[in-house]
Amino acid sequence: MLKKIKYIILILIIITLSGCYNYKELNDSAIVSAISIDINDNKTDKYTIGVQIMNAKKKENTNVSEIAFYEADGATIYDALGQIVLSSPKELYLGHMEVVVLGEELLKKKEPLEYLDFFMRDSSAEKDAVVIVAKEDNAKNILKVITPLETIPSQNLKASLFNSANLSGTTNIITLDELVSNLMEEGKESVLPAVVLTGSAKEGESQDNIKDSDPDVRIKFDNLAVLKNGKLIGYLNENESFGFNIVTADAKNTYIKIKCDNENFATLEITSLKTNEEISFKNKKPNVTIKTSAKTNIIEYNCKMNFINDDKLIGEIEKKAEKRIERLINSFLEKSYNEYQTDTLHYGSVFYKEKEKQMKKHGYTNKTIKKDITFNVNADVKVDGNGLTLKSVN
Amino acid sequence: MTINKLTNELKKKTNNAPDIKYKDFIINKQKVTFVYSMSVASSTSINDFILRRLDEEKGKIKDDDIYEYIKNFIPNNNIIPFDKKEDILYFVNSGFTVAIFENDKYLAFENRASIFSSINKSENERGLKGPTDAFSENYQFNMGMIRRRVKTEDLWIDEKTIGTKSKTKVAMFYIKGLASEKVIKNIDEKLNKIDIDYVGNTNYIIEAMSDTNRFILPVNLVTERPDFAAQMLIEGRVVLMVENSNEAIILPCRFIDFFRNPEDYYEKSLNVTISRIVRFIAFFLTVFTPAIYISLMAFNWESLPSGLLISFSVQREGVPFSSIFEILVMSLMFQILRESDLRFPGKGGSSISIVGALVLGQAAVEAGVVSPITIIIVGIASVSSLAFSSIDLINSIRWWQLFLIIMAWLFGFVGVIFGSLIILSTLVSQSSCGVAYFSPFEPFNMKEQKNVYVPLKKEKFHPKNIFRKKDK
Repeated sequence: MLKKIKYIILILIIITLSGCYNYKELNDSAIVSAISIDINDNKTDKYTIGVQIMNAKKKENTNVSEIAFYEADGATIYDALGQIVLSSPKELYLGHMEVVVLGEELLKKKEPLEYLDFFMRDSSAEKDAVVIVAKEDNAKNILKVITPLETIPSQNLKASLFNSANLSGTTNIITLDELVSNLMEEGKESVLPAVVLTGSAKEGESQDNIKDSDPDVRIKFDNLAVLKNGKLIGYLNENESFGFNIVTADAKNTYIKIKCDNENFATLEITSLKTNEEISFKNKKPNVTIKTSAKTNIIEYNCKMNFINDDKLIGEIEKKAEKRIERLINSFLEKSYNEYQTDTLHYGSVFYKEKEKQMKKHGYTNKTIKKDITFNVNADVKVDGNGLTLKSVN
Repeated sequence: MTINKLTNELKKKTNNAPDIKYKDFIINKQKVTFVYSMSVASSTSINDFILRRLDEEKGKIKDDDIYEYIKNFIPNNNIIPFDKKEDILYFVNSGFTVAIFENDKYLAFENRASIFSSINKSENERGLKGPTDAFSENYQFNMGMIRRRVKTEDLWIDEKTIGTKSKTKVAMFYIKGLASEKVIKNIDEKLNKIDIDYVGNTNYIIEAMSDTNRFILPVNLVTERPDFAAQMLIEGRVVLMVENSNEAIILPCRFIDFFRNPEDYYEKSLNVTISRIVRFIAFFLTVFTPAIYISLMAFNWESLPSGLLISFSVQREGVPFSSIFEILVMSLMFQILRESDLRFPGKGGSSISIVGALVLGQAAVEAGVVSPITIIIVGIASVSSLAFSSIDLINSIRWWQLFLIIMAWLFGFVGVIFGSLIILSTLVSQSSCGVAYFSPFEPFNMKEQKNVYVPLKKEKFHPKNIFRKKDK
């Protein structure tokens, strides 16, 4: 008898552990691959939500689009998703959501924390989805475009974001939970990758768009957007975005270009990138010393040169590259910290965490400190290799 | 009691069995009656060596004591004198010829007929290498096959008669000094306790010896290969041989013993390590694949990469049944196929596999009744279940498979993990003749670990390493 009671208790435990019996067939759900959020000026319906659904149909007829796009308005995110269910035969499943696209209008007018709550609260929603700003556009237009190479546009978006972050260094990957934790800090500052649509959105919706080898409508990643107090205040340019990625050491597989004579350029490929940040107080003012060390290979050299004869040349190249990197970082710091007055690198909280006593001694609070931060930028570049040729072909 | 009275009594006891013959001789005015069974005794041997000899010598015999004469001068390799009349029929039915004398003395001569199949090739435990002879139904041959391989005088054989009606001989082989006394005592006690009427096969003994019938896995190895039995004896185990059975039982047995094959010992050790790892993987695939598939399809979509999820979703498109139903039906179909393939006479086997492959595989998928992924999953699970040489194991892990499928259906991954914990706990708590079933993992023993992966030809079954602490 006692044994039977033991078994009953065990079964009860697993029933309660797994929540409850929730067997659900895969086909009864629509797998949402991307979601777009736009502002709606209507008073009762505040948001326009668009969902891109992976079309789980057998691929007999190749003209059928691989995605389906649904949109609806609602007072909350969930309300809008509920409206979508009215027109979709399947329940929406957010566990494989890869991309969240935010409209520019929305970012300018509303703080993300006001509407991202649902994604953090819902247990099935994917927290690893990347967040992207639709620059000068509505978010839903981005999701409607059918793209070449990857059949599912959201995967196209995600893959090209990862690639451009890795190889060009002008964008950065911010996931949903990273964005939320950035915004929960003092000042609500963050950067976000931005995407632009070239061509008309209407044409991009059609399967005809990918019939050409050179589609009219494309999605292209742009430079980083900057959020301050939770709202979009502007975009960085290419150099500034690159500077940001060097400081965060995310630009690991990128390249830097330097002038080798008056006309021509050379390209150095970065093989390893490390950034050290030291925070201190100098003359009672907060100071951050950024030390960047990079190892590079010469990948292209369009001027006349001969490494065999000229052993000082490498040193010169290194110096030029160091200057270039320092300039990139400085331009980013200038824009972010002086022009926008945003602490996108979150040094304010670093000071608060590590030097709280000194901070108070010098009369700063964590709100005021970021305005006064001064920077010292130091770059150290090593050229390790010069490829297959010692002489330039020029 | 006079001989006539006794023969009448015997006739009455056996309801005058047609195959039991009574032959009277009068030598020097003394009566001798020979009783033998035509069906189990060899008639040529009786004619040539007993009847003809007595016929020819009848006149010449001068001895007064005919009993002594027959005992000493009848040529026979196995003459057993006895004086209990209850034993007469036992000897007759075992193929002996019994001579009944006036003064309640009896002699039994062995004239057993050879009514057994000869030594065959091993059918169920085929291997690429190694000897191919297998145990036959002949008890003496079987004993001989082991004796021939292990010639030491330390090979001890305890013989018992089990079965109130069948009176089957059961021999217990072990090597004195190598086998643990404790294990021998344990097996001996269990054999003595057995109280059944009929022993048809080794399995009768196995069932009667086991303490519980609830444990799904077999707790003893059964082999039809004498070379494997000899190897096991050398390792210090006990081999039970049952009369009229072409298998031997090896005791004690551990869970990991099912992952070794007889031919492991004839191959290079390094290569066998790979085979054993493959068998371990096959075991896990058999038990877990369908259950994990169910939990991935119905509960834990987030653990699948998006690409795979969409591919599963596309494959399931248009299939009218739920995944659990598909899996259960396809597993059932496989079991039916396997069963019919086993039972069907040899020549018809191919037609079944064609029907199986075409109807159950291709046609079912094309008709949209099942999804291709289900066929793959059931295929993986079923094919890997056949990687073991022990049929008992193959049959028993079907239960685990089914149990985990149901757990997955009800609770997803949590259920699968919970189910495997239950399985593990049953494994760990089981013992075989006092030896921990899950050793050398529980109780953990470092020295024994390498025996799991490498067939060590010098390996000894160290009771020290495999008994639980309290059993030592």
